Amino acid sequence: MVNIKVQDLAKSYGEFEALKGISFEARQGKILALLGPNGAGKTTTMRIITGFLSETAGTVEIDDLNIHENLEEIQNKIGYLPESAPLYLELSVNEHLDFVAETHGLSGSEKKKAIQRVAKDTMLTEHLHHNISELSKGFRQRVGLAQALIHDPSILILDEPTTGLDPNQIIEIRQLIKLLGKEKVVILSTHIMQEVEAICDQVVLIHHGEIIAEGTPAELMKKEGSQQKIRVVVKGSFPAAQAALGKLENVKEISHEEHPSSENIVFHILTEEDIRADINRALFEAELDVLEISAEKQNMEGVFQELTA
Amino acid sequence: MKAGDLKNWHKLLKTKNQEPTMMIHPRFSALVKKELRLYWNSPIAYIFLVTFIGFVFWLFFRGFFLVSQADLRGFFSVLPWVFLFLIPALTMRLWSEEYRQGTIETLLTSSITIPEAVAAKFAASFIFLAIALAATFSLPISVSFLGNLDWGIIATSYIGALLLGGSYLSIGIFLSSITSNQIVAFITSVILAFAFFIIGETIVTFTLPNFLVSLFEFFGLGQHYNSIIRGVIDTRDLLFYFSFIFFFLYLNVQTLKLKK
Repeated sequence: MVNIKVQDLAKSYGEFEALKGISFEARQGKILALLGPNGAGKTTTMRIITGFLSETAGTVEIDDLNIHENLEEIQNKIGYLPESAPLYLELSVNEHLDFVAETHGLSGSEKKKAIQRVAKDTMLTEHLHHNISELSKGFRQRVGLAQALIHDPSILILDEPTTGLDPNQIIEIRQLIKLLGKEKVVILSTHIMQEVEAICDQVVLIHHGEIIAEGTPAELMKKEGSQQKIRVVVKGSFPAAQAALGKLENVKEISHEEHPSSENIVFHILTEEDIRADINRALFEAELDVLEISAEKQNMEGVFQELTA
Repeated sequence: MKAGDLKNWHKLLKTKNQEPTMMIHPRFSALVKKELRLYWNSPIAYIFLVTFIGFVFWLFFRGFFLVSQADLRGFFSVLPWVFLFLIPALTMRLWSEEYRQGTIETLLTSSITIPEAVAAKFAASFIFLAIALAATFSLPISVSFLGNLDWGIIATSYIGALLLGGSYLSIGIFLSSITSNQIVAFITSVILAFAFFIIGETIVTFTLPNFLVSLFEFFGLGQHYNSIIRGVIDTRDLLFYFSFIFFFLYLNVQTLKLKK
């Protein structure tokens, strides 16, 4: 079972503390997201885990191996996609993958097979002979992912893997990451909330170099989702509806929007309890037609905004 | 080898062949190959070769027919000055481009060590320099038709040119690791290489106190070069060049380590 243990990791650049002592654990078969606004310390954390930067304090252990004592062994286990997928622009896709494969000790038919495998997984087979300088951002991102996968590492560290991709590519790459996450340790960083909700099993929320929340996406949403938003759509007179809803208890805030070209009125009710039954009763008593009462799903976006505000 | 192994001798041979028999690690040769590809896949290599050969030939033949002597002293004495501007052009991007593009991150996280990466960059640019020098072989060949050429001196001079060029390369690669700005890397390399080339010349040393003169002469790249192109290969000169190159490659490794 592969695992990564990060303990009290800190990194300072002179006076500036990029990381103020963070600890977390990532396990095989799980996708862990480092979530946080720009400059939170996500990239720094990844660079230390991959051995590119050295920490000021704290430890990183991978499979109980210390990263400094066993750097070469550990680096061979890791596939790393740095932020914005840096590549040698003078090379073709094939030449680039060839180089990365050889640096991992692959040669001959083994190397060829590895290149074909990753090209297939990242949908690059038809683009192997293109020069990287001619590729679009999305394709470069895929080459970056391909080179991270070439030696079939047991650990994948992906720094913002879907930036620059179009919506179709995002879905394809996410599917691939999800598939890879079943057998590998995957740590990815992102500031896209849908990504976390779509593919991650574990979230570590970093802000100003500190962990401010962690857990599964569901746990985080529950923890921070003490407030609930309820959407109500009614048909009929606006003042009557407003009066009926105004009498409700446990309501923090009511706002409304009008459907264009219809007599439907949409209310958003902010509350701390589930008062959907009360709403229904109140509107029914006011003789209004209820078209919809639904609890609006609390999403990661809300959690993120709340915690990093 | 055990007796049982003999039955499978063909397999043994096969695995032996796959393993690199030389000391060169496959990772290292991959790095060198990549660096050479970066030269040849971009216009740099071609522009360098055309400029180098054009310059050298023109400077040589301009004086050659005036002196009407069948030797290449003119060529080898002009070479350090051509190197001075062309070699920094070859090295200025080696590290600065890795930092600017961010490829340094994939490079140094793929179990390649910093000393390996530095040595590979030096090796690749040295190979390229050797190719450029080999392209000037037509000079001694054509001169040999015109008169009696001392091939021994030609051979030592080429070795001297390689060692001097290698020293310039090590300076250039080191300075390229300090800045991500290629122009800065180029200009500082020209200045430092120039300083080390002339440091031992009389025009520099005549104002100095005596004990410094020998020191300056010792560190002058030009002094060692001049004695080699006279046809004498002294182990002291060789040792000097090797340590000079090693020193700057070592500085290069240390700079990269500091950036971690």
